[in-house]
Amino acid sequence: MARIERRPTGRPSPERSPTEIPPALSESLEDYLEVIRGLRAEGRVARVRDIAARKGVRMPSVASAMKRLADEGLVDYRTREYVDLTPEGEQAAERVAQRHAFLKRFLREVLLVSPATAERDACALEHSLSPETLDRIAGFYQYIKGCPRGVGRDIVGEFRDCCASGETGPAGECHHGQARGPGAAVADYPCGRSVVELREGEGGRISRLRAVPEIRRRLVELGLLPGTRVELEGVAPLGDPVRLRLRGCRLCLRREEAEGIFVENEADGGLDGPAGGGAARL
Amino acid sequence: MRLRLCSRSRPRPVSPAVRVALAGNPNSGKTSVLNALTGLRHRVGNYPGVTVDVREGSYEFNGRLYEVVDLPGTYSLEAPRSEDERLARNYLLHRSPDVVVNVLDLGNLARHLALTLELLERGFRLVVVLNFADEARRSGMAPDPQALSEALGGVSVVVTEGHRGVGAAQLKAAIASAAAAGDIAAAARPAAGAAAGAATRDDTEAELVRRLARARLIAALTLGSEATDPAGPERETLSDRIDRVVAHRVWGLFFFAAAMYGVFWVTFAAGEPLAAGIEAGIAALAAAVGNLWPEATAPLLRSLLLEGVLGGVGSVLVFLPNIVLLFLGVSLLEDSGYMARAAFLVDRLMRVVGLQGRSFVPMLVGLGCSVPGIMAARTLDNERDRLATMFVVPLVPCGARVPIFLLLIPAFLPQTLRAPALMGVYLLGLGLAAATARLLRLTALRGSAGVFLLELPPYRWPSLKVIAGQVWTRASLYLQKAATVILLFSIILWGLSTFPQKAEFTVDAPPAGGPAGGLDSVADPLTIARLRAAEALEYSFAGRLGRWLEPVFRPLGFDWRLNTALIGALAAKELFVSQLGIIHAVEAEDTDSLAEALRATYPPATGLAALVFTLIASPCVATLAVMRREAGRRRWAILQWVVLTLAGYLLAAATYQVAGLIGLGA
Ligand SMILES: Nc1nc2c(ncn2[C@@H]2O[C@H](COP(=O)(O)OP(=O)(O)OP(=O)(O)O)[C@@H](O)[C@H]2O)c(=O)[nH]1
Ligand SMILES: [Mg+2]
Repeated sequence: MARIERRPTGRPSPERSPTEIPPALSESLEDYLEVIRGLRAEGRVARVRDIAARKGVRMPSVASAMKRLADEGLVDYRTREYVDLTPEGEQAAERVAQRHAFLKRFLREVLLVSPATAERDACALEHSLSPETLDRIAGFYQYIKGCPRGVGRDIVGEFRDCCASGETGPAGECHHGQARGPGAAVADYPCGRSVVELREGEGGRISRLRAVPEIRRRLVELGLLPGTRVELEGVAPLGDPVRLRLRGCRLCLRREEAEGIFVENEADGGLDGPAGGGAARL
Repeated sequence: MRLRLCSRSRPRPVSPAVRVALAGNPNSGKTSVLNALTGLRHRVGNYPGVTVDVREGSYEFNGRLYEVVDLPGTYSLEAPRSEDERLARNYLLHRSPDVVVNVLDLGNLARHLALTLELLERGFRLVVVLNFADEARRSGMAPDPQALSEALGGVSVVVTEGHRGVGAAQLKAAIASAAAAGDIAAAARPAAGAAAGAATRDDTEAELVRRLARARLIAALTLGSEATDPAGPERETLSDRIDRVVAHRVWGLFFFAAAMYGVFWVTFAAGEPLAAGIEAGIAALAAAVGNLWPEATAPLLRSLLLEGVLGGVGSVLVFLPNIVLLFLGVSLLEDSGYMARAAFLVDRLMRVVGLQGRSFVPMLVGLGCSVPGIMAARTLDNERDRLATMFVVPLVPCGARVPIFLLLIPAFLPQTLRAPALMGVYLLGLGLAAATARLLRLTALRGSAGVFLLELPPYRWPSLKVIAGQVWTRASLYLQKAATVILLFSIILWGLSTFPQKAEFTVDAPPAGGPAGGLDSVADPLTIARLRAAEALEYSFAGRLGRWLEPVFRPLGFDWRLNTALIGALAAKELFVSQLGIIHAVEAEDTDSLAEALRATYPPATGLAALVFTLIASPCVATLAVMRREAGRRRWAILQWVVLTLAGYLLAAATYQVAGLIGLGA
């Protein structure tokens, strides 16, 4: 059940891949399949009344949905009293369930999302993702789970350490990674360059702050908030420490700490273009 | 001190004193505001971390007494990183002042307001002070206190210029009405525990960010959005232009050397004529007293005055101009804003020895006096950095050692070598400080170094009033020291050098009748007096003690006279000079200056060894006491004394031996 029946990505897919649901089947119809399957798994007969109760809808809506599923040949609705899945319906429901389980697993194991959130988000995602994206996610999942040891790195493990330390980037030497951790509230795409890479006199807006928590807090207290403009004002003799200019204050800190302050080019941000620069105060 | 006594002796107002605390970000002008309110002259300086202690003052307003405490600067109450920040936080949370005066820098209002919001959230009764009004005006800002007051829910807002005391009267009125509101709402007053209870609340980064964002908004309301837009382009200020040269990656160190040399030059070269003047004055005074007071009446009292007081204290006071000028130099460094640049420039070098740029501030403060220097180490957020810094601060030659250098160097070295030798003493002190720090970091204080994070203030023209006040305070403290500790110990040392008195001398009294007929040249009455005085001195307690120490200090080339001077230096470094002055006054009735007498008595090698020994060995009692208090353990003070004294001894011995080899010996 763990594996998604997918061929390696990139190849032109056959008419209908195993995880794909017939395109005609809408989100709510998929949901009905799941509900029926759920009731059956509990050893109960899926009556229209039960389905309506579980889904929180009125019975006539259930009846019309059942009619449409019957037309697709997925359920047996002849009795108008209780519903049963046809063998095809059984298969389709199985695929829907598998997809849900996969997404949840992906959220849990790769993105390290908490169980409750993973459950909720998997429900939200399973119907809205296009087959193509789903396809890619499946491939990515296999790549991540299968590959990392091969290239000598446990990417998920590193990402977990990142999340644990409250940092927003991957650990190790890869400072320019695009991954975003739980600190995303104060970090934004794209990360840009670190302030120490700026030329003297060059400025940019802070896009991300990477530091151990106590120092991070002090940096924020000093006004190094994402969105704030900083300028590399100068460098001390022997190349360390550096002097930063913020609105309202100047700060000096060592390269070691300054490296974690990432800025975006002002041009990228588009707020202070050459025209905006003219707004300099008297 | 005088002022504090005054306020105590006034008839006490009937209602209980209002307790006011000054809180705010570092370098926002809290101490300046305190000084403006109370007329005191607590230390101010244009860099973060000047105040590291809870300092008090008081004033009366409308018949009510207000006790004001000045707190160290802090960025927030939640996450103090260093000792001084902890002090401020603990005072606010656990002593629950009646009114908190929150001092803000208008030049960085957006960030400083974050603390204001935190203080409001914790339920303190606030008065907000917008300081640096002059600078704001100059850069074209027009703060709207009304708007700020509204945004903060009716808190009263006062605009001030702390260094000149502008706005103090309004501030007093605002504090009074805040306090009165508190009296009315006494029932609703936050109990001592209330604020502390709020402190345990989890203050997350998200909350901090929210507060900062709100602070920006309020700052924009107060100043107009353009002035505070955090994403707007930077305006180049004069400070930026100065920094481009003075903190340059290449020229920076030259300027640093020049600044240090400047302090040095002012202290020694500019002070020389003044010192010579005072020396002449004291000599004239001594001569006048000696002439007016006949030798036969109350000879002991005469000796006490001439030899103990004028010889002992006088020989130290000679160097008062140099010390005052040194204080002036340090005050200029502190008030201009260069202090923080110095820390920035030397951080990389300090890192080599296991310290950091901020450790340099205590050392520069220690140029004046080691005691505030050691205390200034409180701003270091890493305990090991702090201990190592405190340990080496006494190696930076303090003001009290200036008289020693100024006595010994001209006494033993030719004119051309004097300036380099002085410089050498200071460099030797710094070098040893570096070496000791390195050694400590490799042994007792092993471990990772702290983070270097320092806010650079803008350069400011040191105001004449502030500088004069600072220098005057320090000079008067020094005079107080001369009038108390040094005088007292001078008298004690005089007593030790006079008693027990010797009645029988081996040198014969001059023959009563006519010039002696041919036995030897001892016949000269002056020489006889001198020899007898030496004999008497040797017979005294001090002489005996000095003799007893002779085997210990023989490798350094010291005789018993110098040994007695070293005993004095244990209490205060100046007493080394005092005691030499006393001995000189006791021994020689002629007008030779002390320096000339030293030159006649000792070879240069001994002089150099004494220089090295007094530079390094045995920090004074006050230094050891503050070290013990700041380190929290007696161990550290003892270790400091032992290590420095041992190092001083060994290096002085080496100096004596080497100097002897190159022909500077006897
Ligand atoms: N131009 C100007 N300078 C001021 C004003 N208020 C204070 N200063 C100067 O600013 C510097 C800092 O003042 P302090 O009173 O030492 O600041 P503080 O808040 O006590 O600083 P810490 O004790 O380090 O936290 C000093 O050099 C003062 O002379 C002002 O209103 N205008
Ligand atoms: Mg202060």
